Amino acid sequence: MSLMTMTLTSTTDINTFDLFNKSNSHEEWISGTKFNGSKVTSAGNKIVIYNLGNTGKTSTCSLRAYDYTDEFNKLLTEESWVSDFLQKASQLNDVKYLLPFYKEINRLISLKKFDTCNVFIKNVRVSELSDVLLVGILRLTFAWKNKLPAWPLLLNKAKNELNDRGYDSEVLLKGLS
Amino acid sequence: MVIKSVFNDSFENIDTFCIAICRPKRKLNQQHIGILYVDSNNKTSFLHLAWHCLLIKEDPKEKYLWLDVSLDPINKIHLATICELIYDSNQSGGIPYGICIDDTGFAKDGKFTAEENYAGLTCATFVIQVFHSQGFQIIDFEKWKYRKADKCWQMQIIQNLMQQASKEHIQYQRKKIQVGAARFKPEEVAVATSLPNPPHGSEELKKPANILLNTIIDHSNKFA
Repeated sequence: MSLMTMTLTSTTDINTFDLFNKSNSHEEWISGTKFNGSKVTSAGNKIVIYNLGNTGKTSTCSLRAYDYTDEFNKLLTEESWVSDFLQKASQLNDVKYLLPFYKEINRLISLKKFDTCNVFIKNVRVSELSDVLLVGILRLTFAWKNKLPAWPLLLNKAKNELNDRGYDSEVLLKGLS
Repeated sequence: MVIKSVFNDSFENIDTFCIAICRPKRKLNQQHIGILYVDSNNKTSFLHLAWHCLLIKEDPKEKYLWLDVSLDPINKIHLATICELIYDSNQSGGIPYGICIDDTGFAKDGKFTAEENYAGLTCATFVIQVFHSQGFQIIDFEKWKYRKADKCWQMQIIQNLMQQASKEHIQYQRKKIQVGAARFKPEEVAVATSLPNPPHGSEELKKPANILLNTIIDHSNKFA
């Protein structure tokens, strides 16, 4: 798949992201590119998230490129909602916006697509998840944690991330350990 | 435990997810419980298992009291989203009414599941399973006493259920009553969600449940 060929849903329902302060070893920032919308594209093992500035107008912006595995790129192709999720994950903090993604994750579970679900939770970045998603993805999937080898890893990462954000992870993740 | 009503607060002010309880008929010693939550339309809705295969989401009524649950704001939003999932997932077929909570639950796709045919939930065990399905153990089943007095209530309920449920469904309920099925009263479940340090056994809930019951009775008298 070539770069920029996969145009995805716009984020008109959700405010543009403020991701400029976040960085980690997996990200690469490219500044100074002009574009007309917020979207995710993938090429090879890179997934690029385009960010609008806070004004939401066409402007100079930043791009983040993630190195992802082949299996996650396959997931992006097969499950179109995942790209949408990647764009919005940090902003999903109320019922209206969470519900469509809860339904998608549950659909994977109810269809017994545990391998697909495992790829999702293995590759999801806790630093990009909203507070509710940090808890919600684990609660939604914990009944099948024995079928999801990446689940304990996500639990540990979520614990650390919640603590880093100043929450008491023991309280928020109660009942899951 | 703070008990709220339309006389001291408003449904619009609820903190995302809480428990609502009332005495539907003033002269009948029977309470009804459900969940009050902010839904996907940002509206306060009342989700409850009204009767056999009758899961209802509607506007809350003034006769209900409500209590905050002892959870953080993040998990409250998660549970409110789960309520929407449960409502969406159980529209066809609904959730059967049953007096024994054993081997019932919600799959994580929100659909009601039961290991045995004809198993079901009451309004109170519906609330229990919403919590337990997400890892919030509010009731300690090991510390829940079976009360012989509950058998009379269960027999009465089965009598009423005969008009709606199949013979097999009724027969299954009768067998469970014979063996001895624990009852979870709405007021007990309401305080179990509200008190800190769950899970709770029946004995520790006795006193706060009685306080709540008296408040419910007072409140229902205001609508006489």
